[in-house]
Amino acid sequence: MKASKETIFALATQRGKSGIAVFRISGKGSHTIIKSISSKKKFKTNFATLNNLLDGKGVIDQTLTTFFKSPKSYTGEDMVEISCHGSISVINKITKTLLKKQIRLAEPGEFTKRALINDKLSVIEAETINDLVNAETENQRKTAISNLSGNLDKLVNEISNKQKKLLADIEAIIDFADEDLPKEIYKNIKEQNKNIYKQIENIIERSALSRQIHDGFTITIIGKPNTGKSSFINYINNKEVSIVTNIPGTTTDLVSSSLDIQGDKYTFIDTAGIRKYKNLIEKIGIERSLESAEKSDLNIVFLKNNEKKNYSKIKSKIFVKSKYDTNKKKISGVHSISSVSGYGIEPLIKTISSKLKKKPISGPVFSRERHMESLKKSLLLLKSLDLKEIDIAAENVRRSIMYIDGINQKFDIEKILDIIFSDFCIGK
Amino acid sequence: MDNKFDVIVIGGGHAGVEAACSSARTGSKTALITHKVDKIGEMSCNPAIGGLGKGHLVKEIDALDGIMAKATDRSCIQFRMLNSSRGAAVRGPRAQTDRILYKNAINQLVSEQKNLQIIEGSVEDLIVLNKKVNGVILGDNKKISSKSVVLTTGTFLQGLIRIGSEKQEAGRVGDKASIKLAKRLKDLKFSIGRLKTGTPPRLLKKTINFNDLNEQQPDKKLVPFSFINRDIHIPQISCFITHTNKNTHEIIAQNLNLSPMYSGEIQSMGARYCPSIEDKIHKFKSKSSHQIFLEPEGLDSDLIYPNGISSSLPTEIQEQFVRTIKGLESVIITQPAYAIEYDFVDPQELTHSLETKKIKNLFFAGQINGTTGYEEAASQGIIAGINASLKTTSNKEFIIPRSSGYIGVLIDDLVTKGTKEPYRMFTSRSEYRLLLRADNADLRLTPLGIDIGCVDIDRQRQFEKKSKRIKEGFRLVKNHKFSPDALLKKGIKINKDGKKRNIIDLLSFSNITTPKLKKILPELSGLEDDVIEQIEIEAKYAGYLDRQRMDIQDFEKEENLKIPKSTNYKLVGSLSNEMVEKLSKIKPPTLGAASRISGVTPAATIALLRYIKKNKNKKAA
Ligand SMILES: Cc1cc2nc3c(=O)[nH]c(=O)nc-3n(C[C@H](O)[C@H](O)[C@H](O)COP(=O)(O)OP(=O)(O)OC[C@H]3O[C@@H](n4cnc5c(N)ncnc54)[C@H](O)[C@@H]3O)c2cc1C
Ligand SMILES: Nc1nc2c(ncn2[C@@H]2O[C@H](COP(=O)(O)OP(=O)(O)O)[C@@H](O)[C@H]2O)c(=O)[nH]1
Repeated sequence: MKASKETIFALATQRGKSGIAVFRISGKGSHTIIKSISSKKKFKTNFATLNNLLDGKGVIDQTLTTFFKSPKSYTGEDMVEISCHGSISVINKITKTLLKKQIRLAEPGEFTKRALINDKLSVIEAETINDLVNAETENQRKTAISNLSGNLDKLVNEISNKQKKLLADIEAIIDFADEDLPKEIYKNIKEQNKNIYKQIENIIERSALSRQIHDGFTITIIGKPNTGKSSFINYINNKEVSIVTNIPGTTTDLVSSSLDIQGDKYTFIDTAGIRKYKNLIEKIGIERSLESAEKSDLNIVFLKNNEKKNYSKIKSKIFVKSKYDTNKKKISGVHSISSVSGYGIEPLIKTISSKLKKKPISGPVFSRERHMESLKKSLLLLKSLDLKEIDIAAENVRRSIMYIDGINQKFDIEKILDIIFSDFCIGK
Repeated sequence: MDNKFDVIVIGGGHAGVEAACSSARTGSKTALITHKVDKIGEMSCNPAIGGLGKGHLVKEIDALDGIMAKATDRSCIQFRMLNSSRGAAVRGPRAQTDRILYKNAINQLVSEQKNLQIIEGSVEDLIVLNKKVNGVILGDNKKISSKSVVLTTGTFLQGLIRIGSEKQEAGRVGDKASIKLAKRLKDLKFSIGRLKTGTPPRLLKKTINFNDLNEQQPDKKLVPFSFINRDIHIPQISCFITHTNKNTHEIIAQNLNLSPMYSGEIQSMGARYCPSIEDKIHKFKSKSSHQIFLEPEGLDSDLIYPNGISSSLPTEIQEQFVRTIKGLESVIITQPAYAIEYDFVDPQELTHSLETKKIKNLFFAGQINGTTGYEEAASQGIIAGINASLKTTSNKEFIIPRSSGYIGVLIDDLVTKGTKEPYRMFTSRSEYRLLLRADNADLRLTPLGIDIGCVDIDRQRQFEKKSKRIKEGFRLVKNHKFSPDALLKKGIKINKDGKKRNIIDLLSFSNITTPKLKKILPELSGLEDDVIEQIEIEAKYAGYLDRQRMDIQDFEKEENLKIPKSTNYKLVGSLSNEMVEKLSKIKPPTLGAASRISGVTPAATIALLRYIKKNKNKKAA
């Protein structure tokens, strides 16, 4: 049913040695092409069928092959999914065999793009899939999944529908000035409006919190030279701390390193690193560290002795004294650790995460800058609503709807009129 | 009688007279053929012109030198500016008119029009050769030829009147329906639908007791509809307001099954904003009373039009329920309310110039296109008339963009979206409401009219003077700037921020008015009222107007992306079959129009854009 020029394919799983690998093929030619290299010639749609893939000389691999018929597939086009054995040689052979046909390798994101164009996905969902693919931590993945299940779409629609009802009431006052509209209409409008902007405020707040899920927390480590800062970073990066896992692909150049701690992303910035490894003059190093301390969510101060008061200007902080293995004297209010024996490290990390982790967030959240901008602009317009100037009020609500609808779709005045006519008895 | 014309207009209703006059003004030898000459300009329903949204249309018709506003000024017996306490953008001038005076005025304006002949007769057939119309055939088999034809037959196509279980073929009460012509349109394969509308009973004035009813007085300040008039010279009279009550509702509810709408006999769609009293009572059960305006049909008329109780209940029931209403206890109905069903052509059959896509040089305007209301009909009439005339001499088209006028919104909505119920204008339909105001209709549209040649020389001169005055006025208020200190010396207090401001900036402060500013810029006293008005409005909407102007730039970008007529949507790719079908049928002229078609998703618009661009590049290469 959907017309698509080219048939594309891609390996949907990570290349490398694994049990199974999955190929996806999408486009008009997908069914015929796969049939032409299969031992089976008939496939029931949506059922995984045991099938041998052939390359002309013989069998490449025994696979599970599933046919999907347009529009009931991920991309909305005819599709095939092939689960084969995951060895590099099998993958290469299948790729080569396919490339001899009327088919090409998909560009990154092309499946999702096709799904979007064929209306299988909303814009939000497409963005979410992107988030999902790029998820670094467990919590990022969870947010993305929950957004993908349509939660965000629902929320955007809910707000937008409320705004449309609000606009309908305002437009009724304007366009039906001669009719006997309900007396409470002004009061209703004010209540509705307050309701809507409170909800948006709430979402913005909640989303800002969960932004940290997306961007993670930043922790700056400060302290005099040789207090053990780099060694600490090294330790949590390299040694096995059970609640810490490395995030692949992030640079651990000792200036900043990102870690996944119990599902959240934490980025440690080692100011000592700035000084030592960037070869900067000490003064700049200190200025930088203060600047960094200012911006970060939490600061860990490594003490030499008990020079706590030097750091009174630093806001959110935890004091640490390292090298506990060599000096077992404890100071109250200071965490003792050792980057040699590992003493105190796990409790320290737990303290860090409990300090930063806020209440669990309930309800869908927006994680993208674009969405947040739209929400904020919309909020601003609604909060300043003044019914004394009804024409300008209508203009502001209209624009606030455009911002919300712009998250996903388009503004349509017919919807407003539908609401007016179903809610008010209008006409002579 | 001649039998050869450039343009023939069929139907002497509100669309027809504007079409005939605008075609003649644009320079075409034009014939207006209608059933009965003495019914030209007849108001089938409410004796009123204008209102919210509709008032804008009347002003725009006038800006293109149409006749509706002039006729209204000569027949207005109660002028009211609706929303007068609100911003200029949402004000709607409305006139209660004297039915006879209105008709007389229209007749006079039509008969004074050069290039225009009026022919009494019934058009029964269209002469069509090679998908192009060449003229019409009358009831007596006489053929009249022309290069273009404008069809404006209103509610007459297969019109069917209903009162209770009675039904009767008619175009409106007392006029026969057009049956043959309706059949011909079907044969020509136009997609035809059915709509319904209704009208209230007419009441004998002297049997009404007005003593205890609320009076609705005319405005003190009368604003003429036509930009070329300075005053309205007709005496002004009041309307009265009464209400339905529990007893009224009971009678109607009990007899609902006698209304053809509820017995299931009428299936066609009526307008939701123009419900019958049956509808109001059935759908809004919680409302215990509905308002009725008692409107005089004329200065000397002995009839009253009770606005708010259109119905298709049997005559006896109408009498019963009407007499439960305060003031109407012993009223006599001179003509019962009725509903009428009629054929309309899916306006998606038309291009933006109102020419049909199937038959060249054939234009449709008015209620035949699924609209309702005199103003909506006249708006299409004037555009169809101009285009029918242009078509005979050039390949130019006259199209008003959505960003320039309500007429543009009306036509664009119709031809891109079609309509399921009788379409009526509202101010909320315009996305550029703050810019498209009744007060500046001439500034927006008269230049376009002058360009295309549908504006008389007198109006042109008058307009050019006004627009020069306004330009100079704006130059004056923009060029002189004042610091807070300078203002303070003249007793005007504003925040001492050292900023110099011009008059428009200053007027946007709520405590600063034009009279105050005359102290610091005495030249302001030399500006005429219409100039001051424009300046004050610009100041009031300041930032908002600029934002809408920016929106218009965006809109124009999409409007400027033309989709070639020859586009094969099957080749675009990534469009569903349904979308391909829709687009192939409507053939939107621009990407903007395509995006406004219901069901066309943003993704589809993008695919279309890509396709157009790709093809353009191919051609260029
Ligand atoms: C009963 C009724 C109730 C209405 N109620 C409302 C309402 O509540 N609100 C509202 O806004 N509007 C209402 N209207 C609509 C309003 O009257 C119309 O929208 C408007 O008059 C349409 O203008 P028009 O020029 O398209 O057609 P009309 O004014 O109907 O004029 C059509 C003209 O064409 C002529 N004609 C038709 N066929 C032929 C032919 N074959 N040959 C020659 N001449 C022909 C007729 O004689 C007539 O002069 C109502 C109309 C009717 C009839
Ligand atoms: N015994 C012991 N030595 C440590 C510990 N942490 C750091 N050191 C040593 O102290 C010195 C300075 O450490 P470093 O991490 O570079 O300090 P920084 O300047 O604060 O980054 C190095 O010689 C480390 O080997 C620890 O926990 N125990």
